[in-house]
Amino acid sequence: MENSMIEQLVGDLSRDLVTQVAPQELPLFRANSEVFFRNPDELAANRTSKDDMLGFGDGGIVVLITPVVLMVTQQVVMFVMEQAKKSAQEQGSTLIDESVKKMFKKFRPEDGKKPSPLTAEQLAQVRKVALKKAQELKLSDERAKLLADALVGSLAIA
Amino acid sequence: MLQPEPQPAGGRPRLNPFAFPSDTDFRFILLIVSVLGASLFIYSAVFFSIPITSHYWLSVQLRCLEIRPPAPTDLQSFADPAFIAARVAFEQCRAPAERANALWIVGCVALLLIVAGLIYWTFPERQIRRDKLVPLSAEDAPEVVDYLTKLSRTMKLSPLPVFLWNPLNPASGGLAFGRLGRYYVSLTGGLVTQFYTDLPAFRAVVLHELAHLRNADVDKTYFAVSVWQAFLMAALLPLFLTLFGNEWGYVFSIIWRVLALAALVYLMRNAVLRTREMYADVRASVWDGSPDALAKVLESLPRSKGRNWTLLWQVHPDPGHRREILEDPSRLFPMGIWDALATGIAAAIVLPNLIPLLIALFTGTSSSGGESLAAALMIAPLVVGVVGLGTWRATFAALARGKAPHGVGHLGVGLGLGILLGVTLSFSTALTAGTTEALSWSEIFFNIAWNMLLLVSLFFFLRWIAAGASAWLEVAIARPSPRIFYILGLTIAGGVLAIWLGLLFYIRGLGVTIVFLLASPLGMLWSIVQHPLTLLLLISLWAYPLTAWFSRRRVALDSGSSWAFLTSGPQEPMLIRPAPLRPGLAATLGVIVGLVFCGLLLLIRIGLRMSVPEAVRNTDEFRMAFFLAQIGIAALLQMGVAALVAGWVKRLGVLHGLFAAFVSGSVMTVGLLGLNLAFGGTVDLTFAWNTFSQVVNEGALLALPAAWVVAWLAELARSARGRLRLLSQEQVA
Repeated sequence: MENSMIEQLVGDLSRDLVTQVAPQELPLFRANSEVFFRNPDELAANRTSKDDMLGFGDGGIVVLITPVVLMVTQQVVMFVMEQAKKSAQEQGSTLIDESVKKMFKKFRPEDGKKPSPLTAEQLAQVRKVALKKAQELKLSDERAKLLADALVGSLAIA
Repeated sequence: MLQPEPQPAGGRPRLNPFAFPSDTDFRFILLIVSVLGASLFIYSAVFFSIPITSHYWLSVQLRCLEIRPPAPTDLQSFADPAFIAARVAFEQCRAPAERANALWIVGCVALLLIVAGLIYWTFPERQIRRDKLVPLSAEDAPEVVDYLTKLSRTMKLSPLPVFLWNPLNPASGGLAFGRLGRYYVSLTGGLVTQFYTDLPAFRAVVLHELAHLRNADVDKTYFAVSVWQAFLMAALLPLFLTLFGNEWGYVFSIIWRVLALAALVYLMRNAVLRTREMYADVRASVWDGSPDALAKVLESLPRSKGRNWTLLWQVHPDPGHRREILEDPSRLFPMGIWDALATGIAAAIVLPNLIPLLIALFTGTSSSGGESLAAALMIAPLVVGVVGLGTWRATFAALARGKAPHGVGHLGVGLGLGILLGVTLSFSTALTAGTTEALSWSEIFFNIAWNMLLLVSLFFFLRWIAAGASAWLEVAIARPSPRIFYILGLTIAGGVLAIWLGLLFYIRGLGVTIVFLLASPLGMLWSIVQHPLTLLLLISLWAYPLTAWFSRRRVALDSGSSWAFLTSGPQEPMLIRPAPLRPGLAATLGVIVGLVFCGLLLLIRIGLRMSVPEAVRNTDEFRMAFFLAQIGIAALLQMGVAALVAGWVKRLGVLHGLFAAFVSGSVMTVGLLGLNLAFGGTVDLTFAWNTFSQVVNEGALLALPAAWVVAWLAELARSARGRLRLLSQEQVA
């Protein structure tokens, strides 16, 4: 799968997730995703509130979920790709790119040829991967679970 | 224009801090002036470190030394026309070299200002680059853009600010910056999300930043910072180059002064910025219609963790303190003694550097001699703009809350101590401090006396400003705006301080010599006493506060105020009803004592005519002694009437006493001159002026301390009586 295609997929999925779990961050999404795909470290850099002249003062930090969503989604897409690769090798198929995309509800056609959806075990694994990554990125347990559930929910089920 | 907010139910209405201009405006100017003042010395040092310019200056001075008249051995020789002519020729000979030095300094300061201007102009671009700001577009957040545009229009900001943001910044905050005619407000990504989750908080923060624009904080702040940065580049760098090859003692004395100046500028800037934040909070809360939303945001901010002194390094006050100010802006009104001290330091850093520049500029011209006064005229209005305005504000807040103005004199002491410290910190002192040998006893006494005079006079000066403010605020409260009253009051106070500081620094320049000049018959004491400026100064003391009495009828008719409070609806009246001014009583007593003097003088003259032979009466010695005795009696009687009135009148007793002394002095002068004519003498204009200025000025100089002591004793007696009455009432109850 080409990088641009992965980025496109991660971007689209992440936007949907942000719409679901933190719609107030939608205005920030474009800029955050651009920087994420260009230099993820820049996005992860810890920004602190400053005591600037004629500013408002140390207003504290708002925990933004968008960077976390992007990172977790990327992790999940990579995981799903691996699963799709395994499945393709077993079935002798070469169209991995399209099948990965179609594993997500958003891109799954209503009719025509559909790839096999993930199994319940695989979905549980996806949830585990998402939860672990979200917790690594210091998201609260509650929000991490919400995000992991939303991600699992975006995948097609058998 | 501020829209009055509804009066809070139950709570006290908030005092309007925008009724007076903030003293921080003048503090910014003073900060800039003190930096420029320090650069005057630096550029002079650079002038003398460049071989071509220093050689030119030295060669001219050496050439002129040949025609320099020898120093007079006695005081009378100072008035010798030959000596004066030789002195003028010498001054005119060296004038081109002095002027070249002065013009070099002025040119370099102009260059520094150009550098500062460039820094100021390019500040926004650098800020945008540093914070990675981009325009907040409708493509990303259409609702937010629409809301901000409407908000700016509602607040009638012109020009409308450009909104920028950094969507990657999760902090919750805003920032106002820009340059003349182009202003920006930047928002963080974190704040923009609050538009959707907590609109009142978002609105409160944005209004705070817009309030900075409306309060015109941006230009002042960034220009002051630019001047400092330009000073570092265009003044300190050349100064350090000139230090190579100098003695270590001199280098050390310069370096610690640079560090002290940097600390002063940094701390004073931060103090001013902290105050501006509180003004922005108050304006934002007025725009919002209530302080609640902003108070809630402030409550959520992390409290400052450090100790109190660490707050000095921050540009925002502790959120808890900001909330207190928001709820009760009257806390913004009083001025702290540290602010007065910093003002004094900043002013005194400039004065000793400015005076030599003016001396160099006017060497050999007819304008030379008044340099101290000219320098004081430039600096005193700024000092009064800070401390005087602070006194007006403190007086207003005290009166509005039903209290008497308190602690104003301490501000004067703080200002005086600041001036003493500033003189020490001034770069020009580094030259004298490095070269002066151990001070003689007379110099030590002179310095102590000068310092005491400065402190005591400024203590009373600030109390006098408060007295004038309290008298005129009573009138201003019933008018649509207090503007004309404080402008007039501060202008008069600025003039008085300029004359006084000019005289003090002139005396300081003369040093111990002044003692001999004052003691000599041809000395300055008489010329100071008879000087029209002295008369003007003494009359100003009582005339400015007491003329408020003429507007008393108007005050009685009005009760509310349209500007004193931020609230609308029925206003809380001025709670304090100070005792009335009584210039009529003072004038009556003054006339009576004046007439008593005339009667007494008539009797003395008749007695002398009958008992002293005409031959004795016609001698110069007798005439002089008689004239001086008349002046002495007149001054003593004025002192008496001033003390009587000061004890009698409850409010502004000292000033009433001075007025009574002036009235009685005027009557005495008329009587004295009239009786002189009646008894065969002559009167010309010069004699009349000399008599009048001596009677009135000497009377006032004697009356001032006497009236103050009596007024103080009377006040003590009144409060003791009040306590006794209270005690007896309690016992009865």
